[in-house]
Amino acid sequence: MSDPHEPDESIREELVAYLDGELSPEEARAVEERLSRDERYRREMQGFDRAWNALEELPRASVDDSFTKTTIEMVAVAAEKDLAVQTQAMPTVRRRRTLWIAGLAAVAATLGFALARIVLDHPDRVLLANLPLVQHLDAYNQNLSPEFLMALQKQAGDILEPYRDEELEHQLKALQETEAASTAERRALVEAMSDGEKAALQANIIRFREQLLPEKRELLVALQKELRDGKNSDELQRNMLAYWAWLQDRRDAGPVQADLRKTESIEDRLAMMHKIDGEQNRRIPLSLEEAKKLRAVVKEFATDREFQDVTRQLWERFGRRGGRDRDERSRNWNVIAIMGALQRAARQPEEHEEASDDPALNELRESMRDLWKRIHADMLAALSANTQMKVDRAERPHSELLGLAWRATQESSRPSEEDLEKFFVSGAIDAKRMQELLGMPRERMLEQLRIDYRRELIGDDGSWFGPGRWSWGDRDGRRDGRRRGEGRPSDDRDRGLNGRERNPGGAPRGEGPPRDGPPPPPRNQPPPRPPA
Amino acid sequence: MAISDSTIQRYTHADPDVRLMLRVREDDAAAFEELMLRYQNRVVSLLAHLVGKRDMAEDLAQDVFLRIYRARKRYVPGSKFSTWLFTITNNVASNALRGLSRRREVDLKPSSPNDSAGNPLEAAAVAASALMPTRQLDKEELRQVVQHAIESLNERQRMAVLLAKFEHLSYLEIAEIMEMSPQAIKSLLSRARSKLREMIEPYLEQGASISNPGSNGDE
Repeated sequence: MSDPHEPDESIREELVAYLDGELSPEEARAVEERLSRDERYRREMQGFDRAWNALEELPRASVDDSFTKTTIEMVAVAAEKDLAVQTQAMPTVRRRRTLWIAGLAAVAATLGFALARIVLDHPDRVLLANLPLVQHLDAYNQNLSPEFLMALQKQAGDILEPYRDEELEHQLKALQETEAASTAERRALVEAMSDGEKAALQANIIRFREQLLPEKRELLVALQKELRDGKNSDELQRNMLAYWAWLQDRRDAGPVQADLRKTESIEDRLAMMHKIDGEQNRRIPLSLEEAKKLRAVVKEFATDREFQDVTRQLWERFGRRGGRDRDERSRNWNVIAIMGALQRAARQPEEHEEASDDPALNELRESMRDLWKRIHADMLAALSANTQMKVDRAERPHSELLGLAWRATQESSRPSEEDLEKFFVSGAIDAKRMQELLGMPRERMLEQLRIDYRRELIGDDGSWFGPGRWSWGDRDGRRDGRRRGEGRPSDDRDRGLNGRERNPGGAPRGEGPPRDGPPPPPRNQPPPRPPA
Repeated sequence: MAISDSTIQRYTHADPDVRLMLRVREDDAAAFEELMLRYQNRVVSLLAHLVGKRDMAEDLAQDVFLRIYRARKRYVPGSKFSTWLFTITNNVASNALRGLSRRREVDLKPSSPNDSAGNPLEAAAVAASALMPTRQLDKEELRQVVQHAIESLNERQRMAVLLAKFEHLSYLEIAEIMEMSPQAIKSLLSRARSKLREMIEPYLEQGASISNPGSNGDE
């Protein structure tokens, strides 16, 4: 090597490959052997090595959090665009559906994971700026206006009144606090959310960005500000939240919301609300305290002298005493079933009632009415004013009240195996059905028993005191030889006992209706009207 | 070329980043973020040295991660994850440099070491200030020299040097990334290192005191 700076090409490659550890063991040994005896060769190698080490001086980049955040956002935006392109490429019919399911499928599969990270770890500027709106996106997105919200108060206050409760006030307070919060405070709010809240927020931000047209987004942003800054902002926001709570409580809530949203005229929309509200009865919520008080009322009447006296007369006249109230649940049931009979008797308008030739029967009816008045008053007193109002507004307030009592006395809607065993031997199941069940594998037998149990004790729809439901057995003709005979068919309103009815319509468990009672209405069909 | 099951299994077993990428393929957000955190500084550094502009390097790095995201469903572990990532990085950088070259937006070709204006020693002298402590000045001088030296390499040489020096990749891996043969990489690196030595050695020989070149790696 004459000049160390211009080494032979092959020597240069050899030395560099040696330094890079790319030579075979044999080649490496050969290089090392030469290094030990050739000083210029060694200096050459050291020159390469020093220059290589000097590269450590090159600056290394270190990016900050904003790089990570903006990259993830960029990925999310790109994913949205990809989705939009895919969506555009689809046929029109499928496109609409795809947009609709974007909140589900796309979240999970296409872009959700990126957006999830934004929400969870990097709440961005857009989200934070619109946090109150995004959190209540559904509530705001009902084609609302301040005029409609004020009209709600004046013309649909009674419909929304049950929803103006503590929970709503809590929501309103939270909304207003979020609106007043700074960006940093909002960020802290998001970060402090539970996983469930974050998931809900994540779904909303995706819908806000993905599914709403830009014009729609602007409208909603403007609406949120208008309600916040309006003269009656408290009332406007409260009405909005109450309206949304009411909407959520509708059966077929989705179509109902869509119909109402499409109805531009405020008057028409309010009329539609009244119609829907009248058509749909909500299941009245019962607090633990109310349930406890209702159970106490039931228990109290179980040992009430007058109640026991009337019950005895009913047994004597219409039933056979079976004495199956061996546990508290069946005892409760017996008591409530009798109450059901009482309320039907009481609710029958006297003017429609034909006098009976039997003075004892007339007297019994009178006792039943009086007794029901007491029960009714005590049960109502067990309820909060709000629940009382809901009961009053129910289509069948007396049945509703008894339904609440029934629910209060039911500790579990799903029977335990022990319950099912008791039920199996209770006599409620006829011999043929018992044989049938015994022939099944255990799991299937229990499953079928549960179905029978529900039918017998709770009713298919969970409401014992639905109109005209005979309370024990004899439905669908399953109980051989125990069909009701001629007589007044059951009613679909809170009808009571009339002079011709031989059964009070609510014989207790185990007693069965009299053989000469009316045939039961076929399931899933409206019961026949009573004869004029 | 189809990748055999045994290859897939080998890389999945050996490389934790491959396992992370497989989770990204299944839309695991945390895995994507984890990969970004592991590689973002390395990718930005590499691109900054390749294109010569920090802000542009960050933009390109975002493009790299976006491409990874978009390719996730097609990802098959046929090599180490870093090999796949740097292949994408190399493609992104090459495209960007071609674009820059066409538009002549920047002059990435370094000045000749013989140009007085571009002489690294002169540049270092200009940077020298009486107010700067001697030790810092030495470091800064060396950094400028090295920076200038790396910029003097052509695009391919620079890429190969950076991958070998900072990613510790083998010739085989660099060859895969740059779509060249290992022998070509061997020659490429040999020439590149000779050039680096040409530019750096005079400074080192002038006796600038660098007791531990590796101790000041961070900016």
